[in-house]
Amino acid sequence: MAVDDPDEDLVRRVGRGDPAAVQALVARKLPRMLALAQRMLNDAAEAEDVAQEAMLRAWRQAPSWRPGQAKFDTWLHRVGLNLCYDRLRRRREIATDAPPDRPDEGPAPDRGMLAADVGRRVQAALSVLPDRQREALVLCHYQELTNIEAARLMSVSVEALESLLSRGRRALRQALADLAPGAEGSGL
Amino acid sequence: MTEQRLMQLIAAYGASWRRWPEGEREAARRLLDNRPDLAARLQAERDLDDLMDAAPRLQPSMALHDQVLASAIQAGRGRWRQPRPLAWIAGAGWAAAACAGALSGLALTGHMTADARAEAVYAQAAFGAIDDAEVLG
Repeated sequence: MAVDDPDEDLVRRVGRGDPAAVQALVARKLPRMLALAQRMLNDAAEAEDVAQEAMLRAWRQAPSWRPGQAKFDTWLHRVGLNLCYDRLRRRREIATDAPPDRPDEGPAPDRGMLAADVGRRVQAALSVLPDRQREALVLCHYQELTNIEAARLMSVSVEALESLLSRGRRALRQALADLAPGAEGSGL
Repeated sequence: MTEQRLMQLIAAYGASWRRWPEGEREAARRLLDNRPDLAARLQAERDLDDLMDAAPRLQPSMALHDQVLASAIQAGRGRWRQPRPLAWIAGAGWAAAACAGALSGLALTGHMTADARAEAVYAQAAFGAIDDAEVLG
């Protein structure tokens, strides 16, 4: 069944070398790729590298893109995720016995949490989730892919995706329990 | 739609029905409307959604934006068709505007600057003999 792809026309024009289309595709996809990589890797510099490499592959792919089989956005997410997993694998390979120094992510005892502090706490909690749970949450919650697209990208069933999402949300809730409204010191 | 399935949806996708699978959305909302006793559960998931949305979203820097545009030029060399003569002229005009703008210190917005830079890069690619640094400064 042919898929309805909102990027189809743009990608076709990019494949023909249309400068305006290239600009438009950068505006549309670069922020998405950067957000995907940042949330998967929790490292701004690495996220920029991944986003740049994913876009480079998009330029190479565009002239030979065959519409109708998959959405371009889904394909680009596959590329971005593969690049993220390459880097996560490399991190594990060079990990030493000593855990890296991590900043204290807890709230300061004498003040409520500022919005930026909350954001950092959430990102930190996301970064220590099991990879597949994080991937499911990033794709469905942050990148707003449909459950079918996300499941296909992750090569799992929708049921398995929902299980990963539920477990991921449960773990996040536990990790961030002190920030819940009404919790002591939440500042919310 | 059963209560068990509704609970699964909320646990997996959160409180916002916009994130629920499209095919189950309406039925789930109807069931939820008839179950005020589930309000507390829904609120707990909404609180988690709000917390998750507090995570910062990195925005592309101008430098990254320019690098990605430059990579498009590199990747397109020899693969994309050459621009039409009129497009070259238009591109040259944008390049001149971009250079003139930089020289005279025009206070363009970031977005307008990005447009001009991109066009300058394309014009540069069309002419071939000008270095990136000369165009972008």
